[in-house]
Amino acid sequence: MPNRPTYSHKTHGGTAYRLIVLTAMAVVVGAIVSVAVLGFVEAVRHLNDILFISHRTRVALFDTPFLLAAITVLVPTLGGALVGWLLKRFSSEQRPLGPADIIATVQLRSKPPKTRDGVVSTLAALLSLGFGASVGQYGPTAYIGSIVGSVVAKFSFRIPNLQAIAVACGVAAAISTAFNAPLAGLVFAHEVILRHYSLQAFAPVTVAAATGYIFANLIFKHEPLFIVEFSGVQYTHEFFIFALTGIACAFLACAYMHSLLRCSKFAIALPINQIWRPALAGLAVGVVALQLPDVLGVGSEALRFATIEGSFGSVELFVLILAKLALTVVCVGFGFAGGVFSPSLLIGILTGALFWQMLEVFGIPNSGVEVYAICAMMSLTSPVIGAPLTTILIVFELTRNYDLTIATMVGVVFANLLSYRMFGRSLFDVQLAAKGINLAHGRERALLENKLLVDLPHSDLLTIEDDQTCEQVKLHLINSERAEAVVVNDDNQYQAMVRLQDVVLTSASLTQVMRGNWLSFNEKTSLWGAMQALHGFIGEGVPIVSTTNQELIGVVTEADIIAAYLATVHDLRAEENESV
Amino acid sequence: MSRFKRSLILVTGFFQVAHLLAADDKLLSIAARGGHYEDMQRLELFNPFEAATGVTIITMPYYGGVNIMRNKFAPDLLDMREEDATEACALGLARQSIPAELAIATTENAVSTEFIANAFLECGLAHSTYSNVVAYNENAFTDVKPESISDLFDVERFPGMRAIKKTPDNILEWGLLAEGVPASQVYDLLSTERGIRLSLDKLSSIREHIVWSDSPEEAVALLRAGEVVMAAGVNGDFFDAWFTDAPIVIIWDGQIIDRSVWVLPVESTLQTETALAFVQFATRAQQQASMAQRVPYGPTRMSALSRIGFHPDKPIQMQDQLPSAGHHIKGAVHRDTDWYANTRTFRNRLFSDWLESE
Repeated sequence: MPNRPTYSHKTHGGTAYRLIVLTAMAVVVGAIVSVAVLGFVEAVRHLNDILFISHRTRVALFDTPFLLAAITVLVPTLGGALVGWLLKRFSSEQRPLGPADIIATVQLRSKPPKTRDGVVSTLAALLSLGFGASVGQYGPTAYIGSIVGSVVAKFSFRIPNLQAIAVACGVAAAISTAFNAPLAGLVFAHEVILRHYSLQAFAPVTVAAATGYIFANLIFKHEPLFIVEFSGVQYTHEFFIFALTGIACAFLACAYMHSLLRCSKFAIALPINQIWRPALAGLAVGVVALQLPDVLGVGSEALRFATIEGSFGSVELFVLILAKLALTVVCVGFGFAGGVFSPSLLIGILTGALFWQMLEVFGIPNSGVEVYAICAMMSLTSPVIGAPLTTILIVFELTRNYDLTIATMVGVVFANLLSYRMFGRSLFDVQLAAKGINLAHGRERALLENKLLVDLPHSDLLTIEDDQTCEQVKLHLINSERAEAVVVNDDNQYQAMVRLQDVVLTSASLTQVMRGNWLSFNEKTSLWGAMQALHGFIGEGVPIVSTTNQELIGVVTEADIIAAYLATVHDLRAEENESV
Repeated sequence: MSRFKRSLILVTGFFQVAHLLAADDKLLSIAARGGHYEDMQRLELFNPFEAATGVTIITMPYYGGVNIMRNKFAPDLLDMREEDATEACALGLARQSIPAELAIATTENAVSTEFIANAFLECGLAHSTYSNVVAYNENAFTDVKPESISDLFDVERFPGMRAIKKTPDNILEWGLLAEGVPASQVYDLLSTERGIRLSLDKLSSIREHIVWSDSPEEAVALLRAGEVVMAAGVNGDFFDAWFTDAPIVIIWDGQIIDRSVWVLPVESTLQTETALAFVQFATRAQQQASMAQRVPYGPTRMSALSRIGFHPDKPIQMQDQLPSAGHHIKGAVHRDTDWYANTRTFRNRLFSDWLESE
């Protein structure tokens, strides 16, 4: 994937100009994203209502069980077919876009996916959620944020790093709106998307998150995801149990993420048309929902029930956890558009409730189901999205309960530590690594790995044909004041390198003295790869040779590579330390 | 028409007579709820309207539901619960829309802010809000007093019998509220069998302590007589008992707010114009305020609120007695009439299964 740098050092205007533009941009992005996200959530709810996915409308069909069963099976199946068709027909990516794409865009400063693909992906997510697929709504809402951010960033305003900042603003506003949690939105944008804290980004992202919150909470009165009453942790030993909960959730999260990756590969290998794959997943959802209607959609009722004692039996919980996990894996893997965040929340909270029931069975004194449910909910979600601080803050902002937040924190930190070792930073990072964007060793390396040598300006090192004599080569080198030349044949295919000392005082032919074992790069060599290869290299330049036909693409000098490396690193440092 | 004549009508084949009389355009028949509330309506609404217009208002006994509208001798106007009005509308039994201009003809506020939100229903105009609450007998608990809806289910701290009407209405909501479910999520959760079961489980925990009552009046009477320590009913009835010096206190937490609605039947009666004129009269700010000064039901007109003062017979500030008063409204549930309209068989069947189960 060739990446064109969008970053420019050219800045204009004073601090005041940039401050005003960035703040205004943040308010605009925040407001648009907030309205779009609320619209999205409302549209999903409306679809759920008219398609008998929501319990509120399903209950109206209580008298006609056969009709209800038919609708339960048909609606997700039909939704799958629609999603498959939409993505196949209208998206150039032919797949739903999500947080991983946002991370790649911002981390590598690459061009974002096409706006049209983003819109198609959002529509597909709307249909997926609306028709009851077992997928999440926060991934798509975050993506809405990034679409708005990228579009606004097209007006460069002559401000450096604008694209990253605008996208981060969009995502922060989206999370802030969706959860009614501005701090979480702010931190999510930094923790998951930007991955550094510069004042230049921090200020507008904060403004955008606050704008999202104001719209969601004050103007539209959007309901928060969960409301829990909790009177405090009563026993010291419970903190140990919270840590254990975190560890258990880490294993479950890893199993969940592994299954998600495996299922995607499995689905692609199946001899089924791309259009019909989501329909198949929809059918599975519908059939399971006949017995377990809680697996449909986001499952906000089940989320609520999990914190009430006596809502579920242990076996029921166990079955529901497995069913929700399996169906989410199948839905995401088979191409429904949607996130993994909300299902993680549900699987986590149910796991917490089950964990609590185990404590009750063994007679271990505890502070009630709420704290275990919430702790496990976030302990499972945090490793999946790679956002420990965000998840802790969501609990804090939604419950305003300090004890609950501390308990969650203990669980989350252990879950994250363990899953980082066993799986990776997050599902998104591992997805990106599979595409060759490895952020595990830092953004610098990922960026360098994704900058190709062929995109650097090439030096005009001397090129000579292999039928020349050593004497001719010597004269060429002296005349052009070079110490090295590239040897090619009639078809411009690379043969070897030759140095001035090889052709002085020799009677041998050129082909005898030229150096065939010289370092060479190809069109896929990254800046990072080149830097590694240059260890111990002595010479002026390195040829870039096509892997397909051995043709010489160009020559890059050691100085070019080092200059490009330094420029990249310098840019990153500058971005991360930019004030306004 | 004297009180005697009206009683005569009631006694002698009510419907036929009322219908015959209604053919006379000086008569308006209204289905009213009876009891103290109807007496107050007579005093503050019917009599003044009769005096002003020369129309005679006769009332028909009405105990809720929509069947009365299927009757050949349907009344010209009905005072319905919102839930019934919604259902009547869905069934095509009610006349669509009472024009807003009609009710807002005499207003001192901006039209858009004069009535509470959604006062104008598809078929009717909400005229007052009342509340379904639990009340307790003060003498039963000399030490700590009940204050939250979960105390209804707490027979250890608050022992004694509870009078509850034998329907799933209200009690299902209270069961979940007592489990800590926020008011805004109650109906979402009650839309699942799990939610109903959870609520009924809560009810099972006090099953031995329930006295099933048949009517709100009976619940109040049982509470007043000290035969039960708590009772579920309508806030106006409990207020009335307290007003006449019964030691009855309302638990406002978990109150379920309902609205009463003026509805016209779909069949155009001869009295449509008169009925609309009456609705206009009865929903004037002054009339709503006068009613609220006697019965603590909230007016739906904003300008009526500030006119509410003391009860005419005792120095009780009636604004403080309304369900919407600041210290009452926290923890209130607004009855979801759509949910009620959609779940009649669902909730009744699960409730009757539960009744039979133990």
